[in-house]
Amino acid sequence: MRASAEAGYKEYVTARSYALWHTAFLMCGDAHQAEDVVQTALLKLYVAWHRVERAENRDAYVRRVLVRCVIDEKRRGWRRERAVPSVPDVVAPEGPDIGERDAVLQALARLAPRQRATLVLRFWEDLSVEQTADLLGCSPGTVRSQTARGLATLRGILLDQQATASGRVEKG
Amino acid sequence: MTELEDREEQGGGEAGAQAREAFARTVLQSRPRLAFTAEDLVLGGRRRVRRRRLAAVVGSTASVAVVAVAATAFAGGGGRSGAVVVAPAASVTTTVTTSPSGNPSRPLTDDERTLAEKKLAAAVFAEVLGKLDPGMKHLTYTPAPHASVAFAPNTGVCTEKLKVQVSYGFDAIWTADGKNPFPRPKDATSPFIQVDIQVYAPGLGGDQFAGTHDWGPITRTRLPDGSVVQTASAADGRRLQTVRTMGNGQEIVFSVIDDSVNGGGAWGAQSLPTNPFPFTAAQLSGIVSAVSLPLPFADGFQPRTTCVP
Repeated sequence: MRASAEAGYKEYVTARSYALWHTAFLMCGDAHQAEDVVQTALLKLYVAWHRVERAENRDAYVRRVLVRCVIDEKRRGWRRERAVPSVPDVVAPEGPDIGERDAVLQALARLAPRQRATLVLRFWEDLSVEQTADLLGCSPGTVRSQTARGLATLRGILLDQQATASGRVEKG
Repeated sequence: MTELEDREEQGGGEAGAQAREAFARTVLQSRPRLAFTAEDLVLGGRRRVRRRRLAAVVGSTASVAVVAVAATAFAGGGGRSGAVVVAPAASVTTTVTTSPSGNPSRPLTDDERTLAEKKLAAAVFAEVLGKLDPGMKHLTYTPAPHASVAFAPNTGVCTEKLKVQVSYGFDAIWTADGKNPFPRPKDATSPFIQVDIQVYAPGLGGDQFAGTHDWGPITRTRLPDGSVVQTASAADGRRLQTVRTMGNGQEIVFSVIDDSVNGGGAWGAQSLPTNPFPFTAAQLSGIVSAVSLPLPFADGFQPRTTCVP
């Protein structure tokens, strides 16, 4: 890659890494796995950089790889891990409310990977039905139905969580 | 479908708004520090580009080999009773052992030969690392899972699509106190040196000095056995690499890199330089030149590979 192109790539990575990580994190629910898939997607982008010169093409390309990586990892059901003698301490993340954040992540974790990806692309990345369908390799109709079902499920889970948390679980 | 349902599916309804709000709740006030930087990705990307080029070369080489084997089989009958087709050089890996059925000429199975190849690689790693750190007071490494031999090779380089084992490799870490610096907090700066050795199959190593680093002058020495040793340094002598290319194109590539030259990122903060830097280009060259053990890949056998880069 030419030096100028490489500089452009570095600029893109610096500017977009965190946003991509967050999208991947919402899709897979694991901070480390999200980091892995973003890294994989950005490495693939390096190889394809000369083919995706326009900025919007780059985002689309990376999102496509990201979605594929997340869904593939979920299908695989295991992750390559290296054993270490001791686990380093991890500082709790700062945020508006850790409980709320966890509740959303737990709710997302109960959705099927493609349904989850659909919701993240539609409501986090704000992509249209057609753009989401293109990324997921399915029809717009499938995206619509996945969206409706996913939203209903997510809403139900979040409401249940709220009810449980406030001790107002209604029977029947 | 009602208008309300349609709006929900389009993402404009109340549930869509709730989803947006829920996702917004997951944003952290302070951004997590990612374990990679743009620099790391550029280095990784360059390696990936190189591997793709290598895979293309391997692909064309493999095609030629297939044609050659087919032609030999067609002309000479081939078949399991014949000798191994490709055998340009003698190698211990192809030595025939007595089979349980008592057939002294039974060829080794692919699995047996693959294990033998790995053992050859492990012996080379042990020899080289033993000379780099006599007594093993400074080197540490993570043993491969389920390894049956010491210094069992990691996967090395392989091409996934073709399932071709291009090289066997071994990584170790050198520290002054001999303590493994991993797992490593992200703000740790203690110095360490990455040690890497690879043995490449004939013709698949390529130019190890091309591209990525600003190597200084490359010294070139021809040994009595016909092999050629090339050595160079970069980053003020904190990145050293020596490559011995055998007569049949096999390569031993041995490198040491002070982590301080990587500029941080891969594991967190930038490591401090190792002072004094304990290795010289001449030392690495001498170690690799002295390797006299048989190498894997010597007879053209392609080991079985799980190919997990």
